[in-house]
This record gives sequence, structure tokens and C-alpha cells, in this order.
Amino acid sequence: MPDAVRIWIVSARVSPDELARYRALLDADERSRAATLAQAATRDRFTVAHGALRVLVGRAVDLPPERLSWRRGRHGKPTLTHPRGGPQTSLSYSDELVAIAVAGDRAVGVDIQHPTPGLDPVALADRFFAAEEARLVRSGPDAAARADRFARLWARKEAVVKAAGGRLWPQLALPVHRDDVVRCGDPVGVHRVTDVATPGGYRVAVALAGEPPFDVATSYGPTGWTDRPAGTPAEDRRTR
Amino acid sequence: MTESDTATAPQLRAQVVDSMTTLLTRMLRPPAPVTERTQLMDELGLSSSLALELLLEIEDELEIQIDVEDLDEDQMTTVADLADYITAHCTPR
Repeated sequence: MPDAVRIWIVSARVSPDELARYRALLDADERSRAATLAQAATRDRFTVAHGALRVLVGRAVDLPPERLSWRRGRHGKPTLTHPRGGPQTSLSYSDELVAIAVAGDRAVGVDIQHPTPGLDPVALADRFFAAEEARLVRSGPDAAARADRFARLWARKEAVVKAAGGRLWPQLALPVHRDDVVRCGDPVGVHRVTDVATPGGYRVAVALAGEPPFDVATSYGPTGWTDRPAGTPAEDRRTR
Repeated sequence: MTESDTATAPQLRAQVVDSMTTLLTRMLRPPAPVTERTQLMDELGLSSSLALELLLEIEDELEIQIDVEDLDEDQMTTVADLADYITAHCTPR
């Protein structure tokens, strides 16, 4: 049976009650990191993201969410340290959505990107991506398509680099467009990356260490998992 | 480092700081003024894609090319850290 990764796409906008409940789950370090963020919306999104991660991983390992702990390694890659031997996890947020990935033994990286207004995807891809990917972004039929192509490639690069625990900046030209199997240079390793269907113009990608295919099961909605975005299935399971 | 380098590096760094504070203020509209001590990710919540846009705009404004090969999260903790990195890792266009 192939490996499986669970993805949750969660709204960062929650009621004040929910926000307070998430905040109560955070440890001292997470609360202090949230408090350092200057803008209320960014602060609240951080709180929701880390609180929801705790709820979902707690459910997976059958422990109260507030008892979990992570250690942040070099380049910010978090590893679950309590319980030991627990699942691999990854977290990402962009604009108003949060993406959470829970995998088995293989290191996982998830990334969500909302095409940012004001960003010039063609200029960015020309300057930082490999020639073939820059051409792909440039040849989008309209501004929305060009922004979408850039967001997709960016999410795939970030997902791979996060799974690898590497540095993003030297790997901006990492080719991720054609193949799902990506060879990272630093640290050296092979990863498999796949796009995750996401509503609202967002692009999500998830990568696992190693080449073997894996199943992705995606859920949409808050941790109560009821108000999924219109037009999306509650669960989208596909086998690769 | 030649004599002319020592004369221009502080000048370039000041231009980088100026350009970065203006761009960050425009991009993120932070509630407090951006200074050299402002933390890019921890305080402003700068995402990696906006960081990329920031580098590109600084390159265009100052007509330089920034070498991102050696860039690391540690070198972009504050505005001052990133300005130091850019000053030491750029070439005129």
C-alpha cells in the first residue's frame, strides 16, 4: 500500500471564541512568536495555524493538543519531539488560508500560495527561475494565468525545500514543472511533489522525501470541519 | 577591499536600508515605522514570495544584482541583517 499524507486546508478567519480556544493550546514560545507579529490579522493567522496543527496532530496521536511539542531545526524545519516517533508534520499559510500536512515516516513539506496582488510574476520568474519555467510563466494567456503559474511553481519549490529541510534561496531555479520527482541539491535528496486541488485561486503543493508515490487525502474547513468552501468536495482523495 | 570600496559600501548600505524601508512600508503597511531593527519575518510576517519581490524591487531601484546563493534565514532576521547581506553580495548592473 502506498504511503499516505493527510492535508487540511483551514480558514485563518475564525470567531473570537475559536481564536481564544486556539490560543489556549499554544505553548509559551508560540504565544511569544504570535505576540511579536505587528499586525492583528497576521498574529491571528499564526495563532489559528499553530492551534489547528495541534488539534489535528493531537487527534492523530491521541494526545491532548496542548501536550505536543516541536523543535525547530536549522532553516526552521519543525520536528515533533513529543510524542517521539510521531508523524511528520508541515504547516504553511498564505492570505486567508492555512495548509497543514500530517504524514507517516517520510519527511513532509506543504506550501500554500495565494497569488499576491502587486507581485510581478513574469519579472520574478525571469530573474529567479530556470529559463524553461520563466518561459512557462511568461506564456500564460492573461495576468491571472501568469500569476497562477508562478504560484504553482513557487508552492512546489517551497514544498520540496521544506520537506528537505534546506534553504530556499539557493534553490529558486530548482526545476519542478515537468516532473513530480525532484532532485534537491542542498541537502542532496530525491523528493516527490504533487499539486493539491484547492479552491479560491490558491495553489497548494505537498512533497515527501523519497521517490515512491503516495496517496493524498485533503479535507477543507475549520477543525470542526463543517463550512467547507462552496463547490469543493468535503474530501478529495486521489491515488497517484 | 580598495579605498573606493570602503567609501561606497556604507553609502550603498544606506541606500539599501532606505529602499527596503520604503518598499516594506508600501507592501505590508505595518502599524509602526520600519527601522533597521524591524524583524522581517517575526515582526512583519514577511512571506518568502514577498521577500523575493522585495529583492527584485531593490535590484531594480538601485541597479544592482543580488547574489541569493548564500542567502539564509539568519541573514534576513532584521532590516539591518538583510541590508548587510545585500551590501556584501551585490554587483552593479
